[in-house]
Amino acid sequence: MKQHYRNRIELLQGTLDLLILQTLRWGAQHGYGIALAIRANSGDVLQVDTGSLYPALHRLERQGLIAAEWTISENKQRVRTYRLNAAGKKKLAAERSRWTQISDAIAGILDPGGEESEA
Amino acid sequence: MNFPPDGREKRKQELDEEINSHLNMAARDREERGESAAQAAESARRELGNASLVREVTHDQWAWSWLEQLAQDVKYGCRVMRRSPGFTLVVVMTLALGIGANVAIFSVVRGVLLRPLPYGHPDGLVFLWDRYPNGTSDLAAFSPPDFKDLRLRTTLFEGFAAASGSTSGTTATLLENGQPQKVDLVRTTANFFSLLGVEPLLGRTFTAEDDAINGPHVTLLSYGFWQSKFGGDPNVVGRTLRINDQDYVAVGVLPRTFQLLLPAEAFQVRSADIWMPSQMNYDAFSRDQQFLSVIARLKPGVTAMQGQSELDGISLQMQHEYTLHQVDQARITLSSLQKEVVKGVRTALLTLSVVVAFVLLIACGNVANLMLSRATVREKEIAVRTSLGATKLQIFRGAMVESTLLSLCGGVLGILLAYLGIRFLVQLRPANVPRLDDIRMDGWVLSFCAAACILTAVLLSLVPALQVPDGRLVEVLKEGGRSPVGAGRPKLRRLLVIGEIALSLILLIGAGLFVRGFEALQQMNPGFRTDGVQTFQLAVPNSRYPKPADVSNFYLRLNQKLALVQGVEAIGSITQLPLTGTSPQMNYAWDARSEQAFAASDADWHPTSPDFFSAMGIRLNAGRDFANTDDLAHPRVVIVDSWIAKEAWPGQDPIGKRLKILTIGNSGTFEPAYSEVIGVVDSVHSDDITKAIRGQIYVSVYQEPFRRASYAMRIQGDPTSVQKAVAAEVAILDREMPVFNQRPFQDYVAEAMAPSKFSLVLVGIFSLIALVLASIGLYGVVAYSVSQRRQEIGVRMALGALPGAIFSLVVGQGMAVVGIGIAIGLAGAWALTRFINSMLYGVSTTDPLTFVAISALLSVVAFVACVIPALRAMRLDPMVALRYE
Repeated sequence: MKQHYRNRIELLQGTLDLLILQTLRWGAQHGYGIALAIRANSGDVLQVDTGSLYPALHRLERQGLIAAEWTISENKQRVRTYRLNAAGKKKLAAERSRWTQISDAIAGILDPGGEESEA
Repeated sequence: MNFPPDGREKRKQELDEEINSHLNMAARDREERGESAAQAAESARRELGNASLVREVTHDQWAWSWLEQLAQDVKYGCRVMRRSPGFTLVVVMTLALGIGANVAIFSVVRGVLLRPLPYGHPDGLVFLWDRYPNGTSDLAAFSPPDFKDLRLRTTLFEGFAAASGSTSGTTATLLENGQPQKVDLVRTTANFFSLLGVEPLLGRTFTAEDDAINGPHVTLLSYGFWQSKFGGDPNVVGRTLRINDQDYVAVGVLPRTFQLLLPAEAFQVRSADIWMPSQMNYDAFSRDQQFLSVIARLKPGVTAMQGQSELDGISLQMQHEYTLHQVDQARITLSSLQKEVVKGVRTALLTLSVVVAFVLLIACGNVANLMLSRATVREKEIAVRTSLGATKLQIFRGAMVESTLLSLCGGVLGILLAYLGIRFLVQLRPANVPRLDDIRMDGWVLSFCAAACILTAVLLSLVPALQVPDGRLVEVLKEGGRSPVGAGRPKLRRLLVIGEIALSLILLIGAGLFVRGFEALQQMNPGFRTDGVQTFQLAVPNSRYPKPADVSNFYLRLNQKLALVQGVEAIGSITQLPLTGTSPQMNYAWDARSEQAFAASDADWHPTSPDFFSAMGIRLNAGRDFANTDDLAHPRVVIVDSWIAKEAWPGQDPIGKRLKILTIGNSGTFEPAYSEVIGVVDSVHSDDITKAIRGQIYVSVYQEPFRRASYAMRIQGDPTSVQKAVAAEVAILDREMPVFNQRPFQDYVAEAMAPSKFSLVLVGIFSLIALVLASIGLYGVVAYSVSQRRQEIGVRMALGALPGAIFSLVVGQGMAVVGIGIAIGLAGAWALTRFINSMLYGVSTTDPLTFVAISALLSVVAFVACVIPALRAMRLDPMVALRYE
């Protein structure tokens, strides 16, 4: 039974924050839109658990990284839209470089083949 | 971003709207992909998951003040408790039991051990001992000349005060309307009450003038005596009482709260009805007449050690100056009065404190286990909260608030239980526990209870905090609640139960040892009969019987008459009945060599009447009993016990040998003289049944007319009518002589057993509670493991496992836990029981029988606890179990 779940990827808390900030770089968006964007941009690999999306949005808002306002959507519905602000942009840049470092490091561990072929 | 309270409500509405819009958009997208409207809405909702939980966790992201957080946590905790009332009830009751037991015992510890003595500035009060190099015959009594020396030679003490019984013990005769009555009387030095810092309720205490030799006839009344004899008359000061044929003026009344607190060894001094100044000529006594109980007060700022070194110096001086002390090497020592008063129960109370602490730990173990079982149910909820960003700290805080709520409820109920427990305890009135009236619930006890609750809460909240291992969140979330994560916890659960079983085994072994000790005590042959003996006491006053011959004649006439009373089979008297207190001590020697150590030797000394041995069932081994002719006109005779016979004349016939003791001549003073040994009796446990046998010297009461006599009689028929007839005979001889303490000897035996019984009953009760709790805990773990392994058991049965195999699988697993627990418990008991050695009689602290029997008992109970879920597992329908998947 366990194997069944192995291919799913769990979004670590910090990672979700990073993805939200990155998504908002392309413009203001409401929660549902953010979830759709992450899924689409990851080629359907990353599923944002909607249950963790809203707490994350509200947390980022409290931390002053994003701002929210009520707007009317294309479907004429009142939606809460989130926008990246200056602090958020700075945070995103920092998180990105940290992410790159980590993923390079992990890649190095997982794929040491290059060194072997040189030897 | 802080929101005022109404802003928060608005935010909640906004969040609802935000989530609704999310659901709408998701549903619309699904409809566009071709789902039906209803189906789309349903799928969108499922995708979102538990909406209320999402909301709650999102709320948590908003800035909260810590107070709001706490209110939130408490609200949440209360909701959890209400949601599962059965769980809450069991947990609260279990905790109430554990906390209540601790609070009750702490109240006793606080009242008896910790509360300062009810005297002014009790810290400086010390009690004095005369200690000897051999260590066995230390006396809590001083001779008047030694006491005088102490007063004169010390500089670091504010004062020394002494108390003693009257010449006829601690009793006197009060004549009220011509009727004689026995009253308890203690004589004290004038400074006794001021040294203790006791202020009189009415009138005054004693002054130096009162204490002069042949001084005024004055008396102080105890509160109880004033109430019962004078109805609390406020004008009692100045009234006259007829005591021992003389008039005494009441000069004051002591306060209700006054109690005389002295160690049990204090010589012949107990709380009294009336008090008189000692008016003692200190120089008229010799240095081996030790009968004063001495207390002292150190000057402010003087430490006990400084005081002791001054006393050491004085002891050395006295060893130089006086022959007696040169021989006996007496060293005067002081120790805190408080310590001395409570030392007899200290071990018992500390043992009980440990016992109840164990009970609380076991209770916590059970509750933790319950919480773990339930945690499996709540695991998903906690995992969701964690994945939604609740920090470990937040989860822990929530758990902490929840366990605090539970333990507070347990604490409140526990206080109630403790209150009832204390009342039960005080009603037992264990004779060996001093200061029972000081036991009450005060701020200290309540603070202790609060501390116990907090400690419990911390212990309990550690469990859920340990519960969600970081790496396994996904599994919990995805597996939809029926997760194997719970299966990762049985290790913790088993550890808890192992601990519980080990602790309860230790308690049960302790209880078992007390039972064995008590049994040994009851089966022990003390050397005398313990049942079917009636007793009474009387005192022969100086005033009407001034000369030794008068007393001797009185006893002779009385005893001849008493022997003829209807229903009396055998009757005889002695100074001090066995088990009723310390007897007078006597020096002895039997040859030139032992005479060297004459002053340092001592044995119990009993002026005894003929037929006493027969009435008390003490066996005469050789020679003869006293006779009526063993009086002042005939040569001195003595009967020794087999202990002295063996010490003095090993392998020889003691009859006809001579023993040197102090004898009182017609002049009224003690002089050393040889007496002929006429008989040997069996040794007895005289003053304390649990202590080693001491030498006993019996002399004829007609030759040593002691003024106080305790009678023992074997009777036929109704004890009450015989006692009445006896009192009537005494009244015929002396109308003004009271007969008192008419009671069966069995009462004294029961009192002597009281300390053992007290420990036995309490430790027994608590270890039974522990056994029940631990069994419930074990049952819980085994039952839980069965429910977790339904599927596995189902598969095994489907594959042809016989029910018997399933049974032994389940029971075997449970009993493995029990086995480990018992092994640890045995080791623990082996290490710990030595601390109760002083409370055990006649049984080794590592008594193998107790260890084996108790382990077997625990195993049987544990087996039953395992069998119930095992039977359930056997009856499992494999199809149902498998379908559960």
